[in-house]
Amino acid sequence: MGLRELEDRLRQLPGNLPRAPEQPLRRWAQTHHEGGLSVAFINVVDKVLDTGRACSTWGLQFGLACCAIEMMAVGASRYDLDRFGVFFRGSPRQADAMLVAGTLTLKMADVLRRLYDQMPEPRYVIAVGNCAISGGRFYHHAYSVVRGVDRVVPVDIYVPGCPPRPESFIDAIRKLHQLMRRESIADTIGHGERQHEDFFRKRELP
Amino acid sequence: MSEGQEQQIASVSSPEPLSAELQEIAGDLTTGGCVRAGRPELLTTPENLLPLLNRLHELPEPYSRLTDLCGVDWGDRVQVVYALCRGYGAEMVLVKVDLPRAQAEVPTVTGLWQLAFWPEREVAEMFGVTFVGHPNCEHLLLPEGFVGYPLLKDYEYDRSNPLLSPDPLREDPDAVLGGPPSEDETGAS
Ligand code: SF4
Repeated sequence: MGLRELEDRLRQLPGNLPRAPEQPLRRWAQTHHEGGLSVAFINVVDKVLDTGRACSTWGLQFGLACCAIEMMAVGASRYDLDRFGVFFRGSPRQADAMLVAGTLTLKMADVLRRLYDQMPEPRYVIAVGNCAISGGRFYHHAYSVVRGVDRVVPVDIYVPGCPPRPESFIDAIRKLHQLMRRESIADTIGHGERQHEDFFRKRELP
Repeated sequence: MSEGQEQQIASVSSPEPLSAELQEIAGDLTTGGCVRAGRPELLTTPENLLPLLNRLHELPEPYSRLTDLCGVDWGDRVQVVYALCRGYGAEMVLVKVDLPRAQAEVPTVTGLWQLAFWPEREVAEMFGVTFVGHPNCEHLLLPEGFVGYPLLKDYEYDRSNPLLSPDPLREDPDAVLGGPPSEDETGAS
């Protein structure tokens, strides 16, 4: 997908939202299996899956600029993200969360979107640093900096700072874990679309 | 500030005449020249550029290294600057070509230095200079399909691009949020 197509797609999206899935699994369980038991089963499965997911979050390292140095520092022994179960992966297909640290440029936007599309659901995005949030110091005049990663992919957690302290990075990981523990398998089917809708509803506000 | 630095600043503000050696080598192919901050500069035209560079390249003690190639936008004209070095040190001479903005064309120097392949591509996409004879002058740093030459002073970025457009919430928050909060909303009775 070239840059033009990506732009066209983004231009079209707000008016053309996908429907939110209405928890198809839970509804199926309620209607076909006399209620209670299978819903309880889903809840147990949720607990196991969510705990597993939150205790072992593999991150797709997406270091794009100076914030990536901070990400390395957080991953190294002093701050040690390993103890939260976060390991950096080089491949999107093995990753749960994408850690976008740095300045996203027009040329990279296409690649970021493609890698995001390759991640298995449920997938999460953390935007680290002012540049990833809004373009940061490049907001006013830059010809090549995308004004925020959230124009290309839906973002779950924002970490402000230029660059953020490692502590805020760790805080973001903890927040991500809280988010994961609230997920239900019944909701996470179609997770990406649901997020997309929320995301564009939010952006549609103006 | 050391004495050397002061001298350097003084010589930047007041260019000195070229040395007799360079004047003799390049005099007939240049339209001007001076020494700024201890570094000789030769001003030439697009037609004379290649003969001049060739001549500097073939001196007994040649300026055989191209250390930099860049563009400058002076508003009324675009300038391409070639920085040549010789020997093992940093003895440098700058060759400058002035080009009209409307038709900025200059012959490529990839025949002399293959290295010029990359900086020429960059100058071409950033300043809109055409390097005649360049083997493959595609965009180097900019994405494909990018319109305009972003390092020209009068360039404005594409505000209609959804990836670059200003954030409405930041540009005009009142219009987005419907004015400043009323008194009952802020809780001041
Ligand atoms: S937010 Fe600051 S530290 Fe991070 S990438 Fe941008 S300029 Fe660099």
